[in-house]
Amino acid sequence: MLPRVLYSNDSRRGRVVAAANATARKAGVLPGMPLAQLAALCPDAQWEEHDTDADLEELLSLTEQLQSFSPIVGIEELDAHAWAGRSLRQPQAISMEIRGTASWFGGEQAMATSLQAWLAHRGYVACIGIADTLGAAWGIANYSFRNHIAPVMELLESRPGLPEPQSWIEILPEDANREAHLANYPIEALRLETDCTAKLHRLGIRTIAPLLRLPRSSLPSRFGPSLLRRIDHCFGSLEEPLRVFHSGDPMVTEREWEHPISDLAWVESAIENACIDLCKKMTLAGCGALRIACQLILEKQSIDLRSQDTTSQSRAYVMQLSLFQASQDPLHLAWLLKGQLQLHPPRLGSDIAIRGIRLEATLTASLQWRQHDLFAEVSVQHRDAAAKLIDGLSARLGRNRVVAPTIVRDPIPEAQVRMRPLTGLKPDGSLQDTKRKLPRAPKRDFAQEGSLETPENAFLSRPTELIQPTPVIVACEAWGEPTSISIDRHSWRIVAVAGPERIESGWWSGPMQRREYYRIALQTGDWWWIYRDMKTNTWYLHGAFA
Amino acid sequence: MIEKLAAKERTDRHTTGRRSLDDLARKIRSIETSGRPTEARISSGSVAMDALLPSGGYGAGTMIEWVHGGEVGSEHSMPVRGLGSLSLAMRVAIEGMAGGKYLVLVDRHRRFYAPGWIGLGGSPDRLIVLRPDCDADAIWGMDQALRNPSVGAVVASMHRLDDRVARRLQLATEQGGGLGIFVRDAHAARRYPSWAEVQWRVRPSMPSRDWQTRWFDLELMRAGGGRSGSRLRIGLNARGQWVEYSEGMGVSHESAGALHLASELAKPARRRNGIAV
Repeated sequence: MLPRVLYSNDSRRGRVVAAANATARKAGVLPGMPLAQLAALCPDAQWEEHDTDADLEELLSLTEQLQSFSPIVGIEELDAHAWAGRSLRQPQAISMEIRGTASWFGGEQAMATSLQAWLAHRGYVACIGIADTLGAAWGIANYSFRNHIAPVMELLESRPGLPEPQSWIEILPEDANREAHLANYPIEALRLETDCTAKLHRLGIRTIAPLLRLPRSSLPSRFGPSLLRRIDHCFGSLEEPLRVFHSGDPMVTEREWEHPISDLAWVESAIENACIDLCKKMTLAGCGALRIACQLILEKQSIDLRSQDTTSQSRAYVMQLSLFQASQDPLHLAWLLKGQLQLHPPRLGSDIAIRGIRLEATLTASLQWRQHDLFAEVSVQHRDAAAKLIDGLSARLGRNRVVAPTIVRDPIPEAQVRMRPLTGLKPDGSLQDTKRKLPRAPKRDFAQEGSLETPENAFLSRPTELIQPTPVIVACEAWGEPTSISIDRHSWRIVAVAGPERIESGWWSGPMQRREYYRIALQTGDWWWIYRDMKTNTWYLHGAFA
Repeated sequence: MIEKLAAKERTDRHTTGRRSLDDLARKIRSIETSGRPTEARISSGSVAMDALLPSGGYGAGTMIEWVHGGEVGSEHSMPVRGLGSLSLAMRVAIEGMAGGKYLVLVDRHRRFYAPGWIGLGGSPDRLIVLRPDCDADAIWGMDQALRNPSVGAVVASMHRLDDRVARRLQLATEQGGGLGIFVRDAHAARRYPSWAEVQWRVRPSMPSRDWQTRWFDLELMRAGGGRSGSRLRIGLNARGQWVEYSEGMGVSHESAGALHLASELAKPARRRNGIAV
């Protein structure tokens, strides 16, 4: 297996390893490590950016599907601070209440085995822990691998031909002594914060047994209130509620035809009808679609002459759309889907035809009318029309090509503006639904969001166009004022100068940037924005007052 | 006495001829603009500029061109132009956003820098930036945006527009009733025909010492029913307001352009306090 690594962008440390597969870990790659070290440890590793939203979306999707095992399924709730032992601060575990349902599968072991097989079929390696408290189940699911994987790894080292372990199940019987069973588990299995774990490590306490021997009354004052709470969660002295994940009713409409169709005009008509059906459902539910997925189920008829056997293979042609605002307008949805279909039509013909259609609103939102200003009626009309325009433009040009600026508090000009897609993504870059489905939405980071009002006199002090910093040669007076500028053997005289304006980046945002910006007026009448890098003493052209 | 009568007759004939020409121009104009929405004119925000335009402002569904450059030999080697024509175009576009309408900016080269736009008085809430990969996508996007009645203005730097595309965009502008504002360089404007109803030639003036106002020498090259050939010296100050030049007085004064007081008052308090909503 090739070593594979996912990295995330840390504001202070740059790119750091977020996750690594077993091969990369064997080579010494660990989560939290700077990505630059990858070249030395594992030069042939493949790496790409970690998509946290995609991970979360997949976890939510699994949670929805796991409701076939138990009606009470939820996602782990995060604390305000990261837990020790976790490299990523995002939900990674699914909790399930199986009391009363395990007997239907023939007991806890049989249920866990079925669950394991179900997940393995979907390509997941599952670590399943069953206990009578949520805290204990979490601990053994996350940390029982030491009991399982260590002996196997030793065996693998001695006999390399053996297959690697796939997944494991650990069950804590109801009548078992929890304290004795969990005694050798690391303290991280209690879901403790990093600071608390670090303090305990300094005292030489690394497993649960010595921790339990400490006087209970002294724990809150020495390690904070969360330690006692987590111990009680694990051993059942304190009830821990399981927040159940409830997904809404699926907004889906399906249709199959007796005879497959291969005419695109008929397909468009079918899409229109499906949109009408879907919108009727959404109208009854009082919601509108924010994201829709349309599957055209293709049927391929192939005849193998050698074996005289006729087989039919099915696959789907999928169109997915994100909308700017919730809509239950069938004409609008059909127009968007037909536009996609015409842009990238499926190859239909004598051997490939469409057998059915499945249209689903994968994300819905309630249609709420809110008065925004005194002239709301006109504004709402414009907003609705603009929403349709944005949907149409995004569907045709792509989501990342229809954007709006967001100003963030950053002194470095190129980092001050972020262009966010208007459809499908929130201003913070997360998917529209991912965070909303969580039991507790993360707090909004207002510190990162600057005021949209820029300081007075911003027009002539900031350019209207910003380019990649282009090296230029600038001749200066003795006192440092630029007099002429040269690019590619062409030179222009500078007739007026304003500046310098010194801009420096914060120490917390990576390598230090120190620049002196000047506004210059050329003999041609052009106004440019140039800067001198104070570390290298080189000049760059950075923008124009176009 | 005879001379006086002859002079009066000449004057009458001249007045009648002028009236006939005006009537004819009005008829032609009404035929030309028959497909446009009958909305009020869109003020440029500057009294001096409005005075040069037909009907005292830009009509709804008008295509406007700002032509710059074309004077210095080495300008083609410049990586970016900073002649201010885009700022002028966006200043007029802001006036087109009155009444809650949106602005679509076609940023083909991905250079648009929002702080400059906000400093000009624009609202990022109603700004849609298109970043198409090719000219064909850009034209399609502009066509869609111009046809949409919620779009007050579309601003694009499109230097090469052939007849067919320009006519298509003109029809789209007339249908939507917004402003189609294009920035072109003089070389392209000479080579490719223009379908714009109003065409301004932009020549930057010398910078002021305090860098508080940027002056432009504008020439109205084309204006259906307006005063073509007129020249105007006008400035944009650091707050993004028009500044009109009064040579006789030797001082300049800020234009009393249309202020969107009602919409300003209707802004939610949190916005006014500078917290993003």
